[in-house]
Amino acid sequence: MARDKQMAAIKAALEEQPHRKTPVELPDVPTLPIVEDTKEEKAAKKEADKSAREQLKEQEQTRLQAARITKESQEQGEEQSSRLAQTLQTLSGQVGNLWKGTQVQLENIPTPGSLLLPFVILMVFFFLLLPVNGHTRFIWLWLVFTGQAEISATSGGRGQEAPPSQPSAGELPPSNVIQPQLGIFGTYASEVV
Amino acid sequence: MTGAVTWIATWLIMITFLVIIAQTSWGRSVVYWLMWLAVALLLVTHSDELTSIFNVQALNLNG
Repeated sequence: MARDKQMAAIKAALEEQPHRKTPVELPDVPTLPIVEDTKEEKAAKKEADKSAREQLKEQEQTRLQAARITKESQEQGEEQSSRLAQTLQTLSGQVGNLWKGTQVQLENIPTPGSLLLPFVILMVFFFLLLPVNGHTRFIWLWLVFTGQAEISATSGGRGQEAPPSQPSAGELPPSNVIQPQLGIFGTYASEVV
Repeated sequence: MTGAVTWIATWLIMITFLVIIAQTSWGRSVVYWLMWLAVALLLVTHSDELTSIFNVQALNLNG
């Protein structure tokens, strides 16, 4: 009601002086009245604020809990990996110790003389003692140097002074003929190209 | 031809391997005793050929 009266006064003033160039002095119009909240509204606002704060608190607590759980699981994973690394290290250390022990024992085995002696004996066996196709390799070498060895397509090597390497059917080999045997390397001389 | 190449290659590989381990402190004794073992095995397996010179004729010839 009061507001209507004021508006009517303003209108009347405007109609009285329509062609004035100077600004019209308008009556003071008070601002809108400040309406204060009622008590119930204040209480409701308080309640809402309280509940919002509580919700925020709960959210914060949940976040902290999740962070703690993540940290614990990370620590557990790190602990497991460190234990695994430690186990591997221990295992490799034990294997190393075992190998070292074996190495020391092998080093302490006596080797009278040198490696040359058994090697020379094996070479003597290889060249001088094991006959192949009727002669030893050393004798074959001698036959080659003296031009008495020949190689044929069917019977392999044959020396002119050699007894027949294969007895013919039905005959017993003479007692001084050495039957061909596999050489120490498991092959006949004729098989080596 | 292939068999001979395989034969030679196998022997060369084996000899190379033995030479390499013979250079170590622990391998020397292994190679040493392996060679003596080879000598012993050859003696046993080729005893026939090695003793063939001791035949009746040879013994008679030599009195």
